Amino acid sequence: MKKILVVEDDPVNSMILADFLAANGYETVAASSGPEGIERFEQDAPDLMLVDVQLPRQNGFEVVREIKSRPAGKTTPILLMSAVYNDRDQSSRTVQLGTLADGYLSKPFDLVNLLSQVRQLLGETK
Amino acid sequence: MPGFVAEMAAPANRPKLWFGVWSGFAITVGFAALAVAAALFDLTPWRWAFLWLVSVKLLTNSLAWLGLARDRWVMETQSINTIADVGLLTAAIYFTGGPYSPLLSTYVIIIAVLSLLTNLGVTILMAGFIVLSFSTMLILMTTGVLPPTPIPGSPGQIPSIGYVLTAIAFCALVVGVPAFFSAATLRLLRTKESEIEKRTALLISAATQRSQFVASMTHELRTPIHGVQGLADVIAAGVYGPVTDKQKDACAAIKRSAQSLLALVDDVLQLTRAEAGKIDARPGPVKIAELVERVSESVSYMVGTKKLTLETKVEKDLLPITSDERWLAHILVNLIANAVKFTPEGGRVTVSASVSGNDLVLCVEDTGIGIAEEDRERIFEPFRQGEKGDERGYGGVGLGLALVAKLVELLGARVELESEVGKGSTFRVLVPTSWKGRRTATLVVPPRVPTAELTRFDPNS
Repeated sequence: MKKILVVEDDPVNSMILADFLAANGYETVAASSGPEGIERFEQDAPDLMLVDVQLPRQNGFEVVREIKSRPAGKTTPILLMSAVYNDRDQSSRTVQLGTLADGYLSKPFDLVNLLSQVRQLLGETK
Repeated sequence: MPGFVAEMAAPANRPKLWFGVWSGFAITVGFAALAVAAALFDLTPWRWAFLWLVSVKLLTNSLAWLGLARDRWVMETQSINTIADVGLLTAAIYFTGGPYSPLLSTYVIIIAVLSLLTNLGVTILMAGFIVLSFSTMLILMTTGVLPPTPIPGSPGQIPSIGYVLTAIAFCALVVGVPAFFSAATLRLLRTKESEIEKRTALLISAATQRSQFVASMTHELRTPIHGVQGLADVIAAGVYGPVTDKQKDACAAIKRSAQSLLALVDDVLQLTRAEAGKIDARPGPVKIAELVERVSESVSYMVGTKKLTLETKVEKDLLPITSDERWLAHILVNLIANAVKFTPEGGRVTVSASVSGNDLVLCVEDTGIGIAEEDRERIFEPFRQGEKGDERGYGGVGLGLALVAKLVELLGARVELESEVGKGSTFRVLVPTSWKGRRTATLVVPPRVPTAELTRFDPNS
């Protein structure tokens, strides 16, 4: 079973992601802050990470940069998640995030899109 | 009275006028002392010149002082005083040797003081008047109308000690007094300027703090709404066990409610940005048919369970226009949301696009309650709805149309409104097909909070 690490500070959103991914056959691990996310990454060696941009202490960008700089993290796919207020934000965010992470999800989630991105990054698409 | 003279009466210029009056009195006192000196040294023409200067200057300057003190006939008395200065000086110049008078330099002093204390118009006007009065004097002297005056200390004569001392005192007076008062005036103005700068900086930071506060509040508001939506989604997807059709419908309803709440929160943020002057336009090619289709799809949730017909009519073969697609979409979404809100069940909302002249016409027509004549202006103000809307208890805080008005301005477009109470309303947005908008807009809305409250606002308290 593939393991997914969810780094998200809002407990409800974290629960939704965990439950939805679990229902689709993934094992999930949750972290609620940037430093905790990095710690979990080292301990649990997930196959994929979902990282929220707005995180306490260390934001999502910093977390991604940190993980991508580690040997183990180079090959771990990461999806960044962020609330956007309009299309304009989205386009600039996509550029900003595209250079860092492997994909980008805007909140509120479209669960179908989330699942297809996860599957694609894990190489499960037919 | 010419505008540039009337402008000098403004409250901001009052200190300058006062300085003019006080320096006038100081100079008059100086002239009186010089008249006494001239009498002692037996300089007859100078004595007459100074007595003449003292008496008339005292009169006109007192008039100007009265005008300012009573705040009546301010510019009239000021004008008389200034014109009298030039006339008096010309007369004094005549008495002290006409074109050879050492007082001639005082003309320059008058212009220098005027240029510091007044504006360009007044300075040029008085320079013209100086040339006019000086040449009049010369013409009167050369034609013999005015007899020539003796010149004390003219070439070939050794000037008396009395003459030299009087001339030096005169020079010190006409240079020193205006220099002192002008410097004092400028210092006063600079103090005012820095006060204004401080106040402006304070206001700007208050406005920035306010919009930052709203921005972070908006984020905090959105997060739980995302939670509501996400939970409705996972429940409906059967993540927590099998769901009945009825439960699926309920989940869809929860999601719709959350979406409309989200849309409202977004409006608040957009408007805050617009108020902070932060919205910018990125013109590019816009395919209208695609835009209208995309927008009407994305607003279908607004109709929800309400029995409304939402239809689109786009003229065939519309060429792409150059405008900002995102803001156009936003304008349409807001207008449609508005139409849906104020149209009762069984009604119809029609979205259409066509070209008329150099404009693309986006039209949102509804069969709703309509907008009364007297409400048509104010519905575009933030936080307002028509009176009828308030009475009948339609929801919403009235932000949508305020945002539309701002965006329309940014895009260089116009919005027209036709409406009949009880029958419906038609909003027509005329967008120039080639870009005529602005790149960034500093769309400043007068704060709804009194300034005093704004400056006291502290988001950390």
